[in-house]
Formats: sequence, C-alpha cells, structure tokens
Amino acid sequence: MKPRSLFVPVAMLSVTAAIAAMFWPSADPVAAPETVLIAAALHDYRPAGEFRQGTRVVDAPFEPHQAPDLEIMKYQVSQADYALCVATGACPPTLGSGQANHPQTNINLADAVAYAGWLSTGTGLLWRLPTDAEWLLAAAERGSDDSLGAEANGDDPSRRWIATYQREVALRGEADLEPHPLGYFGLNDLGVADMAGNVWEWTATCFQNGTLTPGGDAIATRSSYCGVRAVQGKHRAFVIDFIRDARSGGCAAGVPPDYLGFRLVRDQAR
Amino acid sequence: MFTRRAALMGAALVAASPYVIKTALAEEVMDTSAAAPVDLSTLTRRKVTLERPPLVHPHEQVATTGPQIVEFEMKIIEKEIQVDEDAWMQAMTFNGSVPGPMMVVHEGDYVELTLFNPPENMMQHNIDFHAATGGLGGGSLTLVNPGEKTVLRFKATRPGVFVYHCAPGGPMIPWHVVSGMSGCIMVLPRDGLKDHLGAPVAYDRVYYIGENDFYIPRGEDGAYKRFADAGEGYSDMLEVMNRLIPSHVVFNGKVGALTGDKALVAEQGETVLFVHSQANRDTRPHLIGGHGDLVWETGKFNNPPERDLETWFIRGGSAGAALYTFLQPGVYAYVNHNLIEAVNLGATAHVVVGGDWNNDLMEQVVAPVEYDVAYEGRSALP
Repeated sequence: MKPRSLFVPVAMLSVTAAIAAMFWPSADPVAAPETVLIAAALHDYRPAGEFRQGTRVVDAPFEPHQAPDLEIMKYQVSQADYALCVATGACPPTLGSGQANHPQTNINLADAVAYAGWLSTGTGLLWRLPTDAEWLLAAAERGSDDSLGAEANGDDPSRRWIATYQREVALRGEADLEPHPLGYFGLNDLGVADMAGNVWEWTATCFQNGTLTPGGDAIATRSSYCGVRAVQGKHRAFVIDFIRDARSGGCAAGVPPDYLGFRLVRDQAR
Repeated sequence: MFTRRAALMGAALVAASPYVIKTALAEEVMDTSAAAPVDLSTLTRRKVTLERPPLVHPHEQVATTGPQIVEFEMKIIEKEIQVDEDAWMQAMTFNGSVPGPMMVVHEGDYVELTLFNPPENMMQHNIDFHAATGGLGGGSLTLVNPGEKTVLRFKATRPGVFVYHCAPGGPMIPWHVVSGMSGCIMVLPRDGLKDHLGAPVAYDRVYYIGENDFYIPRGEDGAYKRFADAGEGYSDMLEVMNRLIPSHVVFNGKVGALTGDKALVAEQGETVLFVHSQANRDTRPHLIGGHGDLVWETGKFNNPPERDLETWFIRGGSAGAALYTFLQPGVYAYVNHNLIEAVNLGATAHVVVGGDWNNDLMEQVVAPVEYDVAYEGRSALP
C-alpha cells in the first residue's frame, strides 16, 4: 500500500498561509504566543517507528542529530486560543473541558495543522507542528527514550512484546484524566511548560518502517507511513492521524495517551 | 408488633414502588429450626480464609479427605468504588470486592457461610447461592439488616461453578446485583476435573474473572454522576438500568483492573483454569491468541467439556470454566467478545506469559514490506 503523505498538503497550507499574509494583510491580527528559544544543539535521536534487523524488530539506533535553533511555544495551545480559530471558521470545532486556560485537547492532526495555518496567517509568521526530534530536544529531561534494551532485541519476539507492555505500564503510571490548567505540570529545565503531562502532543513526524545494517548500528532503509504520526508525552505513542481521543481507540494490549493536544514551533525560514 | 426488621423491610418495599413485582418475595425470613433435625456430627470442619479476586484461596483439586463442613465468612461492605477514571459508583459488595470472592469446595461438602451486615451499612442484604437447593438459594433464610449476622449451611450436591448474588426482594434484586453484589463458588468433583474422555485433568493456576455490568447515569453536562450514597443514586440508576444498556462492562470491578501491573500472569506450558461469572447479563469470553482447550461453557462438571473453543458463551446468571495450556509466550487479552463492550466499556483483561516463541505454531514469513503494486497481488481478488 502506497504510504499516504500529508507533507505535500501541509507544505501547501504553509505556502498558502504565507501568500495570504503577504497579499491579504487585513486578516485579523492574532497575538503571537509566548515562546522559548532553544539553542542549536547536537543531540542523539532515536528515529520514530519500527525497524528491523533482517526480519526481527529491534530498537532503532541513536542517530546524531544536528538541531538548529528552535523556537517552541512555551505552553500548549489553549482552549481560548483554539476557540478563536474555530470562531473564524478556520479550525474544526472539537470538545474540551470548557475552561479557557486549559490546553485544547480532543485534537487530531488536521485540527492542529488547521490551527497552525490560521496562526501563521494571523501573526504573519510561519508556525508548524514540531518534528519528533524537535519535541524531544525541547522536552529536555522530560523526554523519554522508547528503546527496550538488549533482551528485547534478542532472538525471541515475545520478550520484546512483553518488555513493551511492561515499559508502557511503568512509564505511564496512573492515567490522569483530570483536566489541568496550563502550567500545571511545571517548567522543564529549558523553561518549557507542561512537557510529559497528561496531554500528549502531535508531531509532524510520520511512522517509519525501516531496516538496519547487518551490524545493527545504522539505518539502512526507511519509508514513512504518514497515516500514523508520532505523538509525544510521557512516552512516544503512534496515533492514527484522524483520531481525537486515543483512549477510545483502545488496543488489545498497550496503553493509550490520556489526551491529545499540541503546541507549535516557529519555522525559522520565515 | 412493629419490629425494626418489619420497618426496614417495609421501607424497602416502599422504595421499590411503583415497580413492586410479584416475584417470589420472602415477606419474612424463613425459619428452618422446627424441621426434622439432621446429624452432621461425624463430619470434620475446615475454615477457609477467602482471597481477593482474581486470585482464589488455596484448595485441593482432588479431595484427600471425605466430605467436610467448610466454613466461610463474608462481611457485606457498602462503599464507593471507582469504576473508571471518570466514573464512581456506590457499590454493594461481598467482602469489599467486586466481584465477591470465589469459594472452592468439593461435591458432598457442606458450605457453612457466616454473613455479616455491619451496622454502618444502610441496607438489608442476603445471599442466593445458585449451587444450593431450596429457600431461594438461601435468600429467604439470610435476609440481614444492618447490625445483623446469619449462618447458612447448604450441601454442595452438584459439581460446577455457580454464581452467588444478593437478592433482597423485588426491584432491590437487580439493583443490588448491578451494584456489584455477586460472586462465584466452585464445587469440584471429589476426584478433580476430567476431560472429555473422563481422564483426570489438573490446573497449575486458577483465575476468577467476575464480570459486572454497571448502569451509571450521566448528568446534563455528559459527566457520570456521583452520589453520596446508594439511595441517593437509586432512581437515576434505575432509569439507566431499565433501558438495558450498561454504561460499563468490567472485569474485577473496574476498567483495566486486570491489566498493566495487575495483569494476570502465566508461563508457557502452564495450564490455567479461567472461571468466569456473570450474574446478570450474557457474555462471551475469548482469549485473544489462545483457546479454550476444555470448556465447561454452562459451568457444570457432570457434563463433558467442549474442546478447542475460540469463544464460549456464559449466560447471564451463570458461571463457566475454561482450561487452557499456554503454548506461546507474549501478551494475551481475555475479553468479552462483544468488542464494543471489551474495548469501549471495559471488559478486557491481559495475561502476560513468559516463555520461548514457537515458530512452528506461528511464524512471520515476510514481515510487512512495501510491494510492487504493478506486479504483485493482482491475483488476490476473484
């Protein structure tokens, strides 16, 4: 099955928004959100998806990743912010806890992308979802590594399966379905708020399938399946792009995110 | 004389109107003391401490003694339980757990239960053992008001797994049952379980999975309502109950109760007996990735078990038992195979099984890989 890609439409949306901003500057201005600047850094990044050595699923290796300067929203997009977008008709309406200063949840990928387009038009700047690597860079000490360790990479597939199950349970702790105001989960070491709280955040990164080199130290092939995206929080999750509530998209085994929300980064190209 | 007992029973009837149905309602507790006495003095006694589900108290599968009087004790606890992250219910429980604990005896034993209804409770309760004979299963001999206790003894004459539940009379019966007040008793044949050919089979582990359907009302804001006590919620719950669609269908009293760090465990090669009870509503257990090697679907051991079932049917108001020897390691889900109830309403448990993968039974010949659409898969459609 040919992988569906949303990269082309997303790129189109950004370009359209940029053009709109140039030629129709009379679109209602929107205040730019508070951001945190994260300096360019070299960090180790483990790609998002399922990688095999031969036919065996194994942890992807760390790849050194040179991240440029990153400007990321300090807080997740709030219900008040999202409501402004809905009021203009640019964003699809969705559910929420009804509290203006709470993060907007019940968001799928299209909702987040629509908001990014609206915010770009309104601020004259270019906003987009972070990539998975950018999110992990901004998460600092709150980011989690989803590798399973040596035993899970061994010959028996059931070890990996059980290790995944146990790791998710341990990382997740108790589910927290109580809606909390922005800032409730505090700032991380970089000053970014609410990372790895009870709202998982969409990234633009597509689920990848790939293979490793025979030595297992590098990625040999990879392909993206963009119907599923990486969603980051207490742990990385993969969520089908139209899902707004991952909890009701339950699996036979495995633990879904409490809430789905998002924050944006400012594209440094503009 | 207008006794406290009569007053409380009258209150129960009033609360039940206008739906007072002429069921076999015991207006007053039966008294068996004047019937011909029976001499059980030759029997030895054994006291059992019950275990919290899904575990079951230690017991012999093959009885090494003759019939005994097996003593159990249960205390009825009315308390609020959390059913899901966003839902609570004022529950009525045997021994503080939903479901109540599983008892195990052998055919020919006498079950002697001391039932306590502590004074802090609000309501009258009793117990109906589906394994017992006469007296509404014991219900008409065991109606206890708060502050009272009673002792019931019944002879376990039929081998099998059976439901027990509270049944205080009229509309109180469904209400108490869907408030969590049910459990299970297993009456083993004295020489243990047998397979379809009559050869002995034994289990290395037994798990008791009690399934409950709950009917928790929602408020106008869409959130589940929460009440200070059971009485306060009764009429709202009754409205939901009478529409017959549960808000939650759970194992062990709570969504996810048997998952995560509370998942059931087993080892490859171990034989596990899964006992499943549903005191009110049909269910269809299925072990995803496994089978029922030997299934007593109707739960009664005088019937030879069915073999190799993918899914079995437990009628509401009964218990069933399924024996399975795990052949593959990994994570299994044990579900009520109405998948809406399993996934969306809570009826899922997990079993984590250690061992070594057996490629003979299942092998991934080609891992998912992109294929050439122009040349491959063209003969797949008729």
